[in-house]
Amino acid sequence: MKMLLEFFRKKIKLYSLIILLLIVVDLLQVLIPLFTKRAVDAITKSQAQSLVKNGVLIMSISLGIITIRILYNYFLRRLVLGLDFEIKTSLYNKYIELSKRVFDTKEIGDLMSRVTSDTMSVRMFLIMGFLGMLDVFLLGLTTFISMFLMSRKLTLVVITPLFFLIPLTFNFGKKIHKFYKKVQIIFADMTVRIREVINGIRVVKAFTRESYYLKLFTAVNEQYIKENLKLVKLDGFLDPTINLFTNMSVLLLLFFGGTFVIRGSVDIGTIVAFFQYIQTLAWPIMAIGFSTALYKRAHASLDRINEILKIPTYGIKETFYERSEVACCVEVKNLSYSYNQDSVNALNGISLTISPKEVLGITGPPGCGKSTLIQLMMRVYDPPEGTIFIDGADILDIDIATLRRYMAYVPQDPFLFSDTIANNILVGRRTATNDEIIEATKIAGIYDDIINFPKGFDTVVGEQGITLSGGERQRVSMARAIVSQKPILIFDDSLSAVDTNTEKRIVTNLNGYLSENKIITIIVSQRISALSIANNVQVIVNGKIIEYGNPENLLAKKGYYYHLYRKQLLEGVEI
Amino acid sequence: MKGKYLKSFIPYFKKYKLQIFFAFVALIAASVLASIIPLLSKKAIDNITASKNIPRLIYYSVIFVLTILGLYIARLLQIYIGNSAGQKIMKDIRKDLFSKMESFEIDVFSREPAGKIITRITNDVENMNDLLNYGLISLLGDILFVFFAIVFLFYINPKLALIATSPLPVAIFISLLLGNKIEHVFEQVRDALTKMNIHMQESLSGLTILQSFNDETHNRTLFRTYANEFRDKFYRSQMLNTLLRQLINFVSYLSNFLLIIFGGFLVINNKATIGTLLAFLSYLNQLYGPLGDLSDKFSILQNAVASMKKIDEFMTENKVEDKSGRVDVEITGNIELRGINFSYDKKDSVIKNISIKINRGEKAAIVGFTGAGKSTIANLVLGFYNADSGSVIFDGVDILKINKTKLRENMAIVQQNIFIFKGTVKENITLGRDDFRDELIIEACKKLGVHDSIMKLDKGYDTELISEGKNISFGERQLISFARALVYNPKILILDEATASIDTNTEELIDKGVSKIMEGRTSIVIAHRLSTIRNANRIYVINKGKIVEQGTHTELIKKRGLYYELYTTQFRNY
Repeated sequence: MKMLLEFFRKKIKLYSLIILLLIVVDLLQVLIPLFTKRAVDAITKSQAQSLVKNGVLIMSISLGIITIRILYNYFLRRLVLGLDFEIKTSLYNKYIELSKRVFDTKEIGDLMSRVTSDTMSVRMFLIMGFLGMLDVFLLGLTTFISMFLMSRKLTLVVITPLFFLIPLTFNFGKKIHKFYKKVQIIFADMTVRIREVINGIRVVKAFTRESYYLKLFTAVNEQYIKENLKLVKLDGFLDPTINLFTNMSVLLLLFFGGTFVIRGSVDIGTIVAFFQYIQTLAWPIMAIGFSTALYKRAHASLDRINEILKIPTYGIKETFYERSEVACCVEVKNLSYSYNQDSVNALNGISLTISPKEVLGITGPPGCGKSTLIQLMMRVYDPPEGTIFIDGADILDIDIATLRRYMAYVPQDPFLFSDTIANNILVGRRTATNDEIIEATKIAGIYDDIINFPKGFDTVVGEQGITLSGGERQRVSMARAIVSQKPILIFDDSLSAVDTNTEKRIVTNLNGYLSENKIITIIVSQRISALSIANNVQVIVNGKIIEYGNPENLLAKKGYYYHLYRKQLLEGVEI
Repeated sequence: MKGKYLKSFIPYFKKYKLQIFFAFVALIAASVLASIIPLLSKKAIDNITASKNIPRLIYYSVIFVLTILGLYIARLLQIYIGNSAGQKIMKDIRKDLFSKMESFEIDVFSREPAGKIITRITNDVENMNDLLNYGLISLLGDILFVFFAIVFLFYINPKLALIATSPLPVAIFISLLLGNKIEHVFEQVRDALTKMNIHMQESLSGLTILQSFNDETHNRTLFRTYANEFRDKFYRSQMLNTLLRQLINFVSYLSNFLLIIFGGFLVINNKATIGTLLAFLSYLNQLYGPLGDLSDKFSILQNAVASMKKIDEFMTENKVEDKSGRVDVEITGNIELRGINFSYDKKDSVIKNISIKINRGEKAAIVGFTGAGKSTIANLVLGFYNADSGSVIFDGVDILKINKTKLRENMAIVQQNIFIFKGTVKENITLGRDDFRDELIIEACKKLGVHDSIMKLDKGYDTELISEGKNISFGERQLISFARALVYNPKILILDEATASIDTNTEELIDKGVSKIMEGRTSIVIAHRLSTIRNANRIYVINKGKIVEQGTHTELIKKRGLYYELYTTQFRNY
């Protein structure tokens, strides 16, 4: 709630104006039945002139109400949507800077729902809840006073049924959200049941268990309608019930009011005015119940929003694209690491050095610790102190945004955005020119494929049947890293889906590019062909370096590397 | 055109015709009663002003009470019956859709994204419910009320009715015109929201990449643009909505004004009563109410019809597996693949002229590199796909002539991608067959050597597993899938790369169990790990879709060909 107050303090003028408009419109609203009464009085007394006068007054007040309602909505929605925008952008700005450790504990769907549905409940509270309360208070009070002045007795009689609406709507407001949640949960269960049969269809069919899964689905399906009907009982019955109580008020008005008129203690104009007041009064009384519920929801949502906004981040002020240089080397010194204190070491005493223009190859069986090493170098996870250095500086002492300016990473599972190919490459460096993009795609061996697409570089990834193959995606992702011109290029099994001929071409291109520029390259791969351009290959098994050296020497050792070579030769891979 | 899609849904509605009928009766009753109320007020007021007769006032009040109670009951009935019919119809449709989905050809599942299938069964059906309850019934209710109200207005005082309702057509016109526009803007709001959501989804999924390339600022700017667009469009739609409601208010005020002035003069000239004025006031009030969301309701209708079209297309465009065929074939376990050619896309052959013959109780092994076409053979044997040419023959009968349910009842498969359903360990082993006694399950698991590790889980066999089995280890999932195959006691067992991605400890455990499972059944073992197949009756080595070598382990080792190379490289300790 603090955040809201802060926001409203900034916009205090606009906010005051909104409240002022609300007061005025509520006052005008009360006047209409009053002048209707006068018109009716004029009718009963056959005063044509007074009738016309009051009629025109009513019309003018109506116009006033309409104008002010429009203005009120204009300012209010502008204010609230402005706040909504601010919350949305500050949430997103947080997300984009979350560290992997924090990010991994959150579901993307949950993060997104804070931007969409939580801001919605704040919005609804502000538009309907908070000002709703004010509206209730003003409109309710003025109407009541006005009625009370016309006829005390009648007011008390007529208003009684309306008070039953308070507990009714309060109870409704309290339960409806819970009921909706429940229906949503079952709906999600139903989705899970369908999804798992789709994903496990082979098992279902092979074991001919279609009928059983239909039975399971039917159970959720039936539960869903049961909960839905509960919701209908709550939601659907509200409106008729309110209607019933309002009609009861009208009845009391007719009966008691009628009796009073016959006895002469109340005039007929009052009856007509009260008739209108009943319609006005029902809404404020209902709103008491709704507003409380809206407040509770908004409060919970604000908590969820604040939970995010409180997370500390590294705080990027501006993005630098200019190139950092590695003058001397990247060093890893006696690095041991485990993800949890009690688990086995993922890495054990790793040491190595790489200098510009050099290519480091890393290989080993799945789960040997290759990826851990890379993640520590990039500080996806922080390495122990004094283990990884760039030009003699511990990477823990380098600010994270600066560190990232050193390294370009090409993962095995390339992530492409559903955007054009050009834009996907531009993620590497926004200032890259067309020529640079073309150059990068040529090195990555994807240029010819791209220009053969009907829309070339403007092809949107994953749209209208143009789905890139795994290998194509890997190469686009590689071009993205090349275009970044960062001094350390890391290929994490990045060519696993590319066929061998293409791979050979890319490796040759890369070799040329790397030696022309002062670049450090790290190639993690299981394929001999990719490792062939390395000056130095490290073989890691169970977190330890078991052999290293240049490819020729390693072959001569007849160890892991040699067997990898033999196996690939057999599989018909050209090396 | 539209009628065609709707047609297939008629039987669902017909089933509940009585309920729907009563809902409509209640709806009509509610509309009539609601429109009587102002008339009763008029009578009461007339009585008050003219005859001043208290017993008569009591009489009207009693009728009034009965009317509002009747109205209340009618509306509750209409809502409840209407919704329960609607929900039941949805339930029936969902059940049929699900059942049909289960019987689709396996191909459909690789072609259609899971999300699309799910949407058809869930959201699209939901939209249809809106058609019945929020669209048809509520729209009809509005129309009926307007109709009766106008009838009564003209019944009370035709001249005044004509004057007072003269602005009504303007309001209807505005409502439809602006409503359409709002609908259009609202679509833009949804688009803007979708764009914003897509951007969020994308950038959060690729967060590591964005951060590693220092691309935060660009994405922030983009998000601001989308959030901005959402704000502007949403603002526009809300303002248009306000405008619409206020314009309708204006017209309704105009009606009131005309009523008071002209009605007033009529009363003064004794051509009408105060009661008439009050009744008119009350009718007019309610007449303009529904106009605010008239186009809302139309768009719900449109939406529902669009969903029905999608559902209908989904049902008719996807082929259902042909399960007709003989059920009298006795499957004993003799399998023959005769000269089979196959391609998934009718272009690139995956299987080229393969012939394999396995006698009852024998164990055949198929080995080769990844992508050589091994798993395709399992797909063909299970009848998931039909061969382009050549035939699969079970006990002398072509698979095309055998009822597939009957056929599969005699087979069990263990796959590389183990699938675990939401449910207990036991349910995952039996897949819901309740005729498998507990002792049978435990015996099977003991035989496999997995009983002990299952007992170590929280609640043993009753441990709840989540969808895809993410709360147990990979090895445990694999063991469950083996137990599954064993309790089904199949005549034919297919192990499709069943031990491909498990750790050595689990593999040792499984190796022992597997040989036990295979005893006395025909089995096809597809593997690229070779330890499990040494004692196979016949080993087929497949490369690039063709059989390149075949024979027993000893024969193939002697031959020093591809199998030998595969075998020797594999038994290095890496």
